[in-house]
Parts: sequence; structure tokens; C-alpha cells
Amino acid sequence: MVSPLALLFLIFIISKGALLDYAIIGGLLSVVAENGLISLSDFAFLRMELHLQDLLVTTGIGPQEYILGLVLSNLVFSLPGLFLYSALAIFYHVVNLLGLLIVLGISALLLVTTSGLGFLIASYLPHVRYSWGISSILPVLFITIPPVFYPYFVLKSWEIMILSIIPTTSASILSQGIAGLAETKEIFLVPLLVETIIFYILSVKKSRWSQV
Amino acid sequence: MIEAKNLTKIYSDGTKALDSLTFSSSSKSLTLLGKNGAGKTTFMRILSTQLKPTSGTALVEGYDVVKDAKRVRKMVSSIPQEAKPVGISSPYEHVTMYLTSRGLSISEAKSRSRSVLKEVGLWEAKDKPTDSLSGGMKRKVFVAMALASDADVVFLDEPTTGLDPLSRMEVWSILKSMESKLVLTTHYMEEAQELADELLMINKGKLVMSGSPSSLLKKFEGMVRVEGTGDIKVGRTLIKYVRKEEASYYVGKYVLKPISLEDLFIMYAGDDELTYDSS
Repeated sequence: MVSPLALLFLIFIISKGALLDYAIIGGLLSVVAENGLISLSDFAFLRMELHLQDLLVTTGIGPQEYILGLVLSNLVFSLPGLFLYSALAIFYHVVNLLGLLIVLGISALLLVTTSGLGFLIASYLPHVRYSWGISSILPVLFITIPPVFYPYFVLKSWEIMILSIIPTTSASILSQGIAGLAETKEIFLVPLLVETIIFYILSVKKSRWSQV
Repeated sequence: MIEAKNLTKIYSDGTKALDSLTFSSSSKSLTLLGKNGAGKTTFMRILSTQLKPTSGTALVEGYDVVKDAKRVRKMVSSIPQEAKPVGISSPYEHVTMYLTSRGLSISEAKSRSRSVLKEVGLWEAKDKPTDSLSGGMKRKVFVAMALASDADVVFLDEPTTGLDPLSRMEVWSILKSMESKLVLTTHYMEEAQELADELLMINKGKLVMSGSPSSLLKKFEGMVRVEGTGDIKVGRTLIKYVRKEEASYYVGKYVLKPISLEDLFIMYAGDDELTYDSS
């Protein structure tokens, strides 16, 4: 929650308040994306230090239940940030209530995607210490580079196409449209949904759960 | 019933952890012995469906651990050697979480957790964060989880490592009271002596010997251990085995010890099988 707030403050100062709406929408999305990605370290810690995964394998639960549990815990962890940014969005009239609910729905998809990716990567790490580096690089790729905190229309179409590989790009384009900050492009719901499904399936099917 | 037929496990780095291990046991309590890296944990992890063997088969209560993994998981509970509790959660939360993961309803899990925590002596600490508990109590949380699981077969990898003698004895009494079949690994020979109906000694992934502690100790019948002389070198200590009637010659000059499972370990768990003159 702290990083998006710091960015919001920076954007507010530099743009003299002009880009505040983008920073609030960006904060709403990045608070869940960042938590999902950073939790990679938690997943690695639970697997390699506490051996929780080894313990649970023999209880009969599968990676699907485990990942859903992790997503839920990330949601709980993200709630204070979500409340804060929702309040800011309503207070500054960035979105109306319906718009806020839609952006929260988009955030939920993003939470599944980033948590799934975090779990997938964590399951392959040979040591916990690798997770510290990776979990600090991923937020740069997912939050700083894509148009999360700046208007997507400053990018050329080919740049948007390339950045669409990253789910936060589609989420941000949709959210900026809903907030009326830019032209609404509903088509970006397709890559967001497809990426959510792909990342979730990858995390369930391709992560290292048990060899059997 | 635990069965292994030509069970082999070769890790991706080429380490052969199990080498055509063939073994079967219907004992209530089976203890695996062997040096560090002998293959005990690998064997245990294969039996509890965490690892896939490279070749061969393993059966738990008649079910193949690879082909019938789901069925095996319903019957077993496995506590890994390195498992640590989640520091911020209490023993009560741990046991309840474990039981709900095994498919119990929340109310059933809570009720069983309460009764098991009383049984293992963790009732007073049931709501404390496990970070604030001693090493012995933390280990007991896992024993409580295994006990609460009511599984047909419980796998415990070095359940008392790092515990003081009193805590260890407390854990032994809990384990002995369990109705489940017990498969455990240990480096403590007195623990094996206390808990095992049957011993399985492994070295370099191969079966060295198996049998009840008393039957295996028959190899040393009528002998005592003399420390300080002999041609068997254990670290810096020389040892030899002599007949009890010859022991008086060594009294006062050397340390004499009665035969225990430790002697089986010394003679058979090492890289080279040692021999002693029993004539």
C-alpha cells in the first residue's frame, strides 16, 4: 500500500494535481497487483522454510485449493489499501459507485493473475533468497512500465500491443476508460480475461506441487 | 502393510537416493535407521506420495503410492522433518487447519483439536502464537496434528530431533498411545528401541537389514562393547566386541558398555560393513 501512496504523492506534486485521477486509479490496481507479486516471497518461504506445502500434499488438497487460499489471503492483505483508494476515488469524484465496483472487479482479476504468477515462480525457486530479488523486479515490470500511473494514450499502438502481454496494461486501459480519463476500450477485457485464465491454469497445472 | 519392490530414486543431479530397495512390513511401528543421506527421508517421501520413484513400486496398505495416490493420501498423515509452524498462528489454529485440509468440517476439526491438544499437553498454550513456544512445544504441535489426523498410517520424519530428553519421552508416550500404524525415522537409538516393532536399516539407498530390535540384537548375543581398544575405529575411538566372560580382563582399563542398537548402527550403517570376531 505504501509504494502506490508514495507514487500518488509524487505524481500529485510533479503534475500539480493534474494527474491525481490517474494516480488514484493506478493505486487501486497496483495495490492488489503489488501484493500478488510480492507474495511470491511468502509462497517461497512457506514452501522452503516452513515446508507447509509438503505437509499439505498428503492431506489430499491440491494446488487449486492452495492457490485459492493464497489468493484469499492476499485479498485480505489488500483490503486496507483497497478501502483507502476506493475512498479517495469517491472523494475526488474519479469514479461513481458503479464504476468503482467495476474497477474493483478488474482488480480481483488482477489479484488472481498476479498471485497465480507469484505461486508459479515461487514453486520453481531453489532457495528463498532468490524470491527477494524477483519480487522486487516484478512490480517494476507490472506496475511501473505499463500505463498504470500514467495515461495509456501517450503510448503508441504498437507499444500498447506489446505491453498487453502484461495484465496490468489491459486492466489499466479498462479502468482509465471507466473513470472517463480516456477513451473506453472494452476490447481490452478480452486479453485481461484470457491472461487471468492462462496464468491461473499455468499456476495450477505447471507449478511444482508434488511429483505424484 | 508397507511394501517396496525394487524401489529406486535418482534425483535430477544424478544422486541415487534409493537403489532397488525391496522390503515389506506389517508391523505396527516401523523405524527407519541409517546415516544422514542414507535414503530414509526419500523412502518416507515416496511412501507418503510426495515423491515419485524413478522405478519400482511402493504400496501402502495395498495401494500403489503413484497409481492410487489419492486413496493413499486419505489413509496417511505425514510430518516432514523440516516442518516448522507458522509463527503467528496458534497450536489450536494449526491443528484445526490441518484437519480441515483433510476434509473435516470446521466444527468437527475444532472439537478434535481441543481434545488432542489436551492429550498432548498443549492445552495451556493452545492460543499462544507458536513463535512464543519452546522448540519442544513446537514439535509437539506437529505430533498433535498427526495424532488428530486419525490416519491409518502416520509418517514422522525425525519427530524428536532437537528435543530435550523429557520432551522426547513425552512425545514417545504420545506416539505409543496412537492407534495408527507408525513409520518413523530417527537418529536416536533409544528412540528406535522404545518405539520400533521392526527396524529397517538403509545405507546408500540399499536395504542393510530388517527385523525386530531383539532379533537383530541376537547377532551380538553374549557380547559387550569395549571402548578404547580394538580395530574398529569410530571417529577417534577404537572399539571391539568381546564375550561377557572375557570382559573382566578389560574392567578398569577400558570403558565397557552393554550392547544396544547403537552397536548395530556402528557395524552395519557405515559405508563398509564391519566385522567382529565373535569366536
